[in-house]
Amino acid sequence: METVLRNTRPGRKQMFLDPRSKLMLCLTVIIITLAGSGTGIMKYVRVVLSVVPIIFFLLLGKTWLSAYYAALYAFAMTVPDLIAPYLPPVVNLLFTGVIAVSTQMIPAMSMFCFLVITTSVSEFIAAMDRMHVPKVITVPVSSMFRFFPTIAEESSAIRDAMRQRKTGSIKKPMEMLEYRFVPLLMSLVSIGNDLSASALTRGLDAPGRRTNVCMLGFHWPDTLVFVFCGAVMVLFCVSLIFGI
Amino acid sequence: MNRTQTKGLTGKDLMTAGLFTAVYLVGYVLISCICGMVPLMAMTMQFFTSLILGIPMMLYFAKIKKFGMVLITYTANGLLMILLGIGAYALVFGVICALIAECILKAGKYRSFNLAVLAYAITCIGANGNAILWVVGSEEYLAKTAASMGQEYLNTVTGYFAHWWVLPAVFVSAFIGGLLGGFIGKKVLRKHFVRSGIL
Repeated sequence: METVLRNTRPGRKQMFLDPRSKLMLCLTVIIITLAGSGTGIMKYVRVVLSVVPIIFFLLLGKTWLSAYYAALYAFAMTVPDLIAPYLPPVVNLLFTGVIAVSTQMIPAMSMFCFLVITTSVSEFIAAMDRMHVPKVITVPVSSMFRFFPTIAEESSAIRDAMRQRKTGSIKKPMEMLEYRFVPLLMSLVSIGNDLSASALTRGLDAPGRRTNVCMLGFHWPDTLVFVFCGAVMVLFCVSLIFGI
Repeated sequence: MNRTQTKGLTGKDLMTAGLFTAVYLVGYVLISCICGMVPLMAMTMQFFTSLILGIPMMLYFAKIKKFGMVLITYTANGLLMILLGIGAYALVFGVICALIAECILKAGKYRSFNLAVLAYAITCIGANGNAILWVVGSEEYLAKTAASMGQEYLNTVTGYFAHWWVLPAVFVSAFIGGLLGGFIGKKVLRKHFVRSGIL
């Protein structure tokens, strides 16, 4: 059993990468896009980093997603720069801050999207466990991810039901809160109770470490990722210190 | 299930924290997308998110009986905000404000409703810490464009940022929104949740 587990590797579904190296890549992109000043060499590094999500989406076979991302990023990078000089300062003040910050967010959000698509909850928890992240963080975070699809599902079901009764449309905000939001909360709370009961019977509260059959471990693709992240961080530090 | 005697957080508590964090995050992103579409509304975003999310959060705060759950929610919220690339301020301010809120809740022995409303309003300030980014980001961006536009343009622009009160006003609006939202949440709780036996 031990050898079988040792020999298995992250497969195509996991992008051949360990969740930890995906997290590292994600964090690198976020740090650079949020903290980087965008001058000197970092300008080019930033472009390289914003290409990274495209490569991964293409490797995953999500052509449309990568095209959408590329178009959005190109639009956000060029159009405000072209338009801003011709607009009065008031408009600029209201718009440009929002646009500038959103532009920074696009690559980071795509990386996060990639992380979520390619990592199952079990793998995520196993990786966090290897990094000695305590249970009080991993359990809420993973149950949070479990709930996102449920929220969407329940909300659309309630919307249909309320549409049939001709109430709770967005035109009347108070009605909407009362007839769509409150039922949604009720059903979510009861689903949450069921789920936690089922998790408890499967030993969520049990003392000791959680075991799993996830394929974790670092291989040569992870090495590549770490070398890439290291190079980017070194460039970042160099540009911070020497101001190039 | 009467497990309030146990000291630490149980798995059930952690699952509840995850559920309400998910609701909070989805609500927050949705409302800010709606408000963000209209530029003038972008600065009132904090007020509306705090106001509307008062309902689920008051339900959550009414369920809390132990130290630590508010802290977990806002830590997870802040971590996810970082991973989404929105900014790190929500984590720092969120944790500080959540600690204050925990102390307030504890002072009321997790029973007092008015103190729960106050605690929620305080966490609202922390959760909207990323508003700093909007103001600073706008300033940086305009400074960059001003460099290519000449001194006169720069003077006009910096004139707008003489309004030092913008940032405090955003936080105060979040706090007031939190208070109002908390009281609305309390009303809704009485009307719907207590009657149907969820609480």
